[in-house]
Amino acid sequence: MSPTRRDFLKLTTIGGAAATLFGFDLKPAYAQLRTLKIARANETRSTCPYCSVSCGVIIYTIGDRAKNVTPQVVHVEGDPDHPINRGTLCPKGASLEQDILNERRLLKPQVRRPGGTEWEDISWDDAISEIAQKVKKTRDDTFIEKDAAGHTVNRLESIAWSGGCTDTNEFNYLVVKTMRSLGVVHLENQARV
Amino acid sequence: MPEKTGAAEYGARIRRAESLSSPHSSATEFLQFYVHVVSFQKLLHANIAAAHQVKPSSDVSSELRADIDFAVVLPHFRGYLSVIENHAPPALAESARQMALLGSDSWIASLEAYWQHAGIYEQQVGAFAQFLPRAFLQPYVEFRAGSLPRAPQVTTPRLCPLCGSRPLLGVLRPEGDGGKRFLQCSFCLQEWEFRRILCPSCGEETEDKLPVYIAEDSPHVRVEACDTCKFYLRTIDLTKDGNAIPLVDDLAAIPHTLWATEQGYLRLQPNLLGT
Repeated sequence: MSPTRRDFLKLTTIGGAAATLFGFDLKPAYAQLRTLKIARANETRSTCPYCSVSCGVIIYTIGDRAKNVTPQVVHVEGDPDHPINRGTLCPKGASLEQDILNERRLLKPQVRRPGGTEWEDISWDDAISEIAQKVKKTRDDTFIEKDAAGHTVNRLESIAWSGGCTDTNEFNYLVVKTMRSLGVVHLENQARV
Repeated sequence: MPEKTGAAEYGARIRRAESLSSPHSSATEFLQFYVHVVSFQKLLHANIAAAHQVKPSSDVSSELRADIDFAVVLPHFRGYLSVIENHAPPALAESARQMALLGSDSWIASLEAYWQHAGIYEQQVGAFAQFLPRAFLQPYVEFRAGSLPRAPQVTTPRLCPLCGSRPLLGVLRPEGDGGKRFLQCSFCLQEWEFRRILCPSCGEETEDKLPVYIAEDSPHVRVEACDTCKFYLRTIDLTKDGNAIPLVDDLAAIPHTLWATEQGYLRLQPNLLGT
């Protein structure tokens, strides 16, 4: 007679869960358990910010999820399931953890004035105001409404825009709209994220 | 993916269990017993392979859970029971002694019950009751699984593509600069690819709900939990320790099991010794 599922379940539930049923001594394991320092990590999929290849990465953050604790990045590795890189990373991508956690990373805007040799701190509001003033002055001074032949061109050749690889598609869309409205023609993005 | 199981693989398991015996003081008793079990398994595997060389027409390439070839395995069962009786802790030794008193019909019934149903149903509580057939049939099922052709894998199945059993372990093997996850079957011990950041029990993929717990002193042992279904998968990370043998390092990680149980997580499938 072939065994039934009921026979099997009966067999599997005769005992119980713990290894104590085998007769092993679990005291040393419990003693070791008290000394274990276990950290909770979360794995998050992301995209390497450097170049247009867009390699997949997995970022490890630790933190016990308490409200007053900021999760800390502890490790970044290639995503082996990602179809583009299958876990591989270039040297820049492999050092992403240092990109996120770096004491030399700038956390506020700075400005170096014409002729100056030192970088000075500046507030975000002041930085944005100064940039806006300079853009307006440059545009007012150098805007080309008509070319030498009298054709209307409405272009601004004295300002150029070079987009970074971390810019998202949506950000790049806004950049193009903004730059075109100013008349900027020297415009390059790395649209891919 | 590892190569087909053979004498070398069993030898590696023995060596790993011996090397883990001393520093992992809490697992020494378990691992010393396991060395006896796996030494027997090594001999049995060699005998099975030899029997199928003599009798190449034997039906090893059909479906994995097809009938057991008792003519090959049953002559070794009494010897196996005496190994367990001589080296196991008292409760298990008594269980082996009782089994030895039964006739071969009862042995066949017990082995067949395990063979037909193991790994298919939820059985977190069955490690002790399953031990005798499980440890005995492991070399046989590994031999059979090693002989089966593998179809290319195009999906992410949560059950073993060869035998339909639930996974015992996760294994992270180096791939590029990361670790590719494989699941190891709780029945036939074969591995198949499985996506990272995905619960093999309920299919949860929200990153916040899939915490990974790692102890400072054993970074290659991971408790990959799911806060949705409260199951966890023990994963051995070979990118952190290339010398680890997943099947053996899993047995040694007893404190991790106790810790996970304290946190309210349940293991997907118990290992051979219920740790």
